[in-house]
Amino acid sequence: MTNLPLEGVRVVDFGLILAIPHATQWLSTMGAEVIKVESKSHPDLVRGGFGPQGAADGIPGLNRTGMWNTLHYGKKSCSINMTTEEGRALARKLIATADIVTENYTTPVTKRFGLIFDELRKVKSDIIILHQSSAGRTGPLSDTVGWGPTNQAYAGLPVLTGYEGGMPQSIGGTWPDYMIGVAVAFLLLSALHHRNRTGEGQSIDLSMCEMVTSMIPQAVFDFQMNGRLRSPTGNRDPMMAPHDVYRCAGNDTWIAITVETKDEWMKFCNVLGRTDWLEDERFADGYARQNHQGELDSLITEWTRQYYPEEVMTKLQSAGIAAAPVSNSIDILNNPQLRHRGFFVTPDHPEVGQREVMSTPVLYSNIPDKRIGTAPLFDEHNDYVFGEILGMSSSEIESLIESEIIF
Amino acid sequence: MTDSALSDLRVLELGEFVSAAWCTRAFAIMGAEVIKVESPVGDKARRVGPFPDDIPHSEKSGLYLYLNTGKKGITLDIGTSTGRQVLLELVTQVDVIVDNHLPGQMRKWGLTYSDFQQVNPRVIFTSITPFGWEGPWSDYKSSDLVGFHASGIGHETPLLYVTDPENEPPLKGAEYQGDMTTGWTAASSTMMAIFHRVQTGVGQMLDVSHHEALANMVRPNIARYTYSGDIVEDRPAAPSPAAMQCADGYVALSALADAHWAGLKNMLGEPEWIMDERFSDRPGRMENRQEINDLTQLEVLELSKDEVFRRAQANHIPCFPYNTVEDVLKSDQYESREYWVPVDHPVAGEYNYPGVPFKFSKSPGNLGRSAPLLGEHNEQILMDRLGYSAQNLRDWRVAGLL
Repeated sequence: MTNLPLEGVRVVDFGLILAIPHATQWLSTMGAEVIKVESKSHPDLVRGGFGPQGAADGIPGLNRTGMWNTLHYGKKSCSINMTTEEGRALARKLIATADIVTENYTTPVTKRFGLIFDELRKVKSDIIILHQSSAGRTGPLSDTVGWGPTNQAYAGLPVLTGYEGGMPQSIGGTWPDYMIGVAVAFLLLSALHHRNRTGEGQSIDLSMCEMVTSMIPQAVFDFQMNGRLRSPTGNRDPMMAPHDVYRCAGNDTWIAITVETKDEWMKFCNVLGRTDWLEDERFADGYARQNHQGELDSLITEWTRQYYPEEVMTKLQSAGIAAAPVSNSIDILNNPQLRHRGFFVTPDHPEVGQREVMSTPVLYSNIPDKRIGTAPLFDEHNDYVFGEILGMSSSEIESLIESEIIF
Repeated sequence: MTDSALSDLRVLELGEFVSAAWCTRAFAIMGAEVIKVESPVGDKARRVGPFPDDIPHSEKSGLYLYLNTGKKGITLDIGTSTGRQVLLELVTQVDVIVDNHLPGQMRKWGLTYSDFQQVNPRVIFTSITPFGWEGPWSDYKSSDLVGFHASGIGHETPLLYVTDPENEPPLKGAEYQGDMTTGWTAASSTMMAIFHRVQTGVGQMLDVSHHEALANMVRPNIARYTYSGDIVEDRPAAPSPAAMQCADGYVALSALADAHWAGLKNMLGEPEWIMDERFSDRPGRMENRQEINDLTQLEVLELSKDEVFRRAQANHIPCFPYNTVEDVLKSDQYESREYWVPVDHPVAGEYNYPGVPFKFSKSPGNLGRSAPLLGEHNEQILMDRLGYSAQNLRDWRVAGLL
């Protein structure tokens, strides 16, 4: 049996809410030891039932939310009150044993807590620290507060997303937090690779706004090339038609369909039994279909409305046309393809029992078993962290608990 | 001397369009050598644009130029036996292959992991496909639109209230958010395989599913069901941020959490409505969020978006304006961080490219050279690296292989 690739890597994680926890969870499933530093004085919003996610069986509790437990399985938790000097000193001791530090406080808080490279290198010369913030750690907006949905607005994405002629719309699912979490894993591993080759640590300053702007190149170039400010086009594409979601049989059910090539268009017409469209000059080529999308889409909807989305998918995919149902969360949980890939796991959590959650993405031919584990109870690993790692005696720990340093 | 984090890695891209190109672009930014293999007609992104004056030109697509900075480019028809042979020789010289062709296509070409492993046991083969290599949907086709909706994100978009579901269908994010997110997923997982190789000395295959990479973006929804029994079938009733209309556009403003609510009271000068008992705690505000949004809206309607943004931030409320591309190109913040990077391309000319959105203090990333012309590095790679002759290249060009 080979080890997991990140065994021996220790991450001290101050990350709150979504993006950073998502990144460190992935590292944890690949073998890294992730120690979450928390405090009763400011429990992670996700522990308290942030957003629509409730606690297990409706019983509140720091260890009971699905949101927490789906973002933290496999990690360890210790509690340090970072608002005290003794707490910050304790955190520095822990960081001295670590490879990576991650955090996403607002800039003033980060500074107050001393979570900056020039401070931390004094206790660990090759430490890697990643800062994630709304607009970056420098510049006139360095102290702003924001979260995913507000940041994507600044970045320029929502004015491009939306219904034709409508107001700006944000992507849901607290976009871009989870996407950025995925990218953060790449950044941390790049820095670790650099350290392993050179012995050098460093800081990484990640701006969420800049990340999102980096993902709208067509609008950026169209403005510079043609002076054009793009506006929302719903689900449509500047080149392909059909390219939309179409209403199916059932309650609020839709199928997404894209037809790209001439060959696909012929097959599409065949499946719909509308070979007459091949002769119709309104639909003669992609350009013509672009110009008659409204008419075409209503005709397609007349057909899709007769079937459930899964039936439409089967008919179209069998002919080689890209199509899939618009999925809600139950569809995802029951999705045969994701199930086949083993994308769901069932940690056995001491307080809430067995509940199914998502695994991490990608199948590795030589890493068959990711490490899942369960989400830590609040401060569950205080004895391990302060006793075993830092070698403190139980009376020392006890006294720090009494003075609310370990808190 | 290693200024760049990944300067010891060599990556071969067999990419078409966005997802694989986005993955290898991350490696190029971090200093890896990336060799992009295009078919003789060139990558699809060359035909998509935008183009200057809307005139298509294979060397002037904004999308292609942006996706492929920092890379070398060769052309090769990998579907022919000669092309396949040349490719496998190239595989012996690289650490990573990133591909996004369909599994059926790669099987047909005889370019599966076992073919690569045979010539280079250390190689990491990162394969991006719509749904993965195995399973009931593995032969299905997809696209950014189809993947976005199949994964569950489309069902949550738009984020704000959907009041008329029949006329407000589930919505896709602009451009290629799904493909790029999948590219990030592939880049991160490839780095994990690099660490595995350091330990074990062997490579492996990574089966990256576009569908799964995007389903990973709706991670909490599953827990919401398995923990609370809430079935998230209805489309969004997202609490915030509310889109607030201002005199000259919109701001996104989120003030329902306790700390932010106090800030909102202060920002608005404690109008009478804000003291309503029903709004005194977070659950109450969540329940009455539409009313709160409507009332807040009246307070800011006549202010500029910049004024609202600054006042809100002064009160520590998460709030940003809805910017256009023109706004972000002029952003003081971006300017102070030198975000925009002028890149000059020999055919397309100079534009400001979105720069590297993360700053490494010791091994900074950078966009590197402009995107390769079609087949620009054929001689350098095929002759200098692999030892083929000028005659070989002439023959292959005539045969349409390059």
